[in-house]
Amino acid sequence: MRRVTIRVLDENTHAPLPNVQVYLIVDQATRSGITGITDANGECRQFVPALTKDFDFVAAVPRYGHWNQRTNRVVIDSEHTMTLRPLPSSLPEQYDWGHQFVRMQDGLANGGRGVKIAIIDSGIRTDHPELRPAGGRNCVVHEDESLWYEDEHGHGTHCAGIVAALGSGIGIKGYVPEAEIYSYRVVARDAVGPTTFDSIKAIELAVEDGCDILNMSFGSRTPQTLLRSRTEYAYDKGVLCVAATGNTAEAVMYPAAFPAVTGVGAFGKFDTYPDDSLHKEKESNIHSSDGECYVAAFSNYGGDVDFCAPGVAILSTVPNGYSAWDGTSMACPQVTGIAALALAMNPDILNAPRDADRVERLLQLLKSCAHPLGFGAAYEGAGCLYVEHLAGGIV
Amino acid sequence: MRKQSAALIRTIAKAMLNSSRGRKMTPMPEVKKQYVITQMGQGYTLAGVLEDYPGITVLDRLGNSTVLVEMTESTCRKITQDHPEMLIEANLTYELQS
Repeated sequence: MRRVTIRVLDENTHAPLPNVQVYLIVDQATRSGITGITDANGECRQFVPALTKDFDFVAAVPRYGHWNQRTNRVVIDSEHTMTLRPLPSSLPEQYDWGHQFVRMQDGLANGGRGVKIAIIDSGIRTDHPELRPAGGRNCVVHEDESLWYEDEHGHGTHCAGIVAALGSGIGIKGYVPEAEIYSYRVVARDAVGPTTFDSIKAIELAVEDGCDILNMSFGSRTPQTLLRSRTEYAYDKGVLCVAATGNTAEAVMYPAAFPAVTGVGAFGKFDTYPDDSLHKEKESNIHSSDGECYVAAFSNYGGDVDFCAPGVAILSTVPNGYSAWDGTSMACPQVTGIAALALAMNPDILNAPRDADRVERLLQLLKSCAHPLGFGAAYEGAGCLYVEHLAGGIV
Repeated sequence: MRKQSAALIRTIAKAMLNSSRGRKMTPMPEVKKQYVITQMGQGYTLAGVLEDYPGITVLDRLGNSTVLVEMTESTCRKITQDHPEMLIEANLTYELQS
């Protein structure tokens, strides 16, 4: 064995970047290799077999603040240096490309005031300057119910930012910064996702608490009657359930595939991230009619896709900063945010009796704002929701 | 050479036979898994299930009709056979889609 050192620096200042996950991949097909995290000096030291010098690629994935990077076909004798580009420090109108793409505008519907949204996820950090969740519940078994604001994973904090980031500083702005965002934490500290029990508990509590929309950026291939019945309970109580269709490039996962749930697939836009980033891997050969966008290579497909939304290189809030993430998890809260806007702009639906008809009216409204991008219905459902259609009073 | 090998095999086989003779095989305890049980109809209740089937550990409750439990697969099968009005599903882990 021999030791190799990967050094990760900021591209502009050359300051060392700690806490960056480094991947040394020997075989791209099997993704076999080793991984480690940079220390305070921005260095990741790993032992590799003595004869291994050629790597199919080396990748660096920072937790926040910088774009990730992938370098192909690297020969490493003992050291290798990577320089990461900082994320943009300012965005047009503070909107990420996804919000810009759907023509998000400032000042719509008082920022979504009056709408209550449940983010059923890994938690929402309250110490982020761009987030102001109204409350929440920790639904994880055997954990303190008040710990809804913890987020070891960062996933829930990222989703919450897409929906409702405040845009108060140099950061980003969500669709409905004035809406009430509630964190229903369902991912335990050491877990990769929520369990059946925690999920159904979160749905029941969120409905009881009077939430209008449930955001569920998780999925499984297994259809479970218990989860299905809870989504139908929410639907019958006038609550819109929005879920990610899944990232495995196959049939739509559950709960997104359940009839009472709105499933959201993901697409990306060319040139919205550096060419040497890992986001580039998510490009597919299914392009939009205008050639600007593509179906995310990972996005699941089929008759249960209701809408598509931006889901590659989505810039949002994470613990301690901002980060660009990929996933139908990131597409899902775009639809949640636009649905919240639609509700806030239509008090007759917002204040309607809480029954299935309320959800159907909201869905009809959303469908009327959908515009097919040319991917085909199996990938985009009714298409991408455009806020300008909502604002233009087409409905 | 061939004779020596045959003798060696016989010796090993005998030793193996002797070592297992008279020893009772202890069955491996069945692993417990997490399940969610929901009472779907009237009549037989969740309380009845927890009383009538030994070895069930309740981990959490949701209202009066749903419990998260730990039990063996065979207990799960038995309840399902005896009481179709009880919906029992594994407590799966879903994946975050990022």
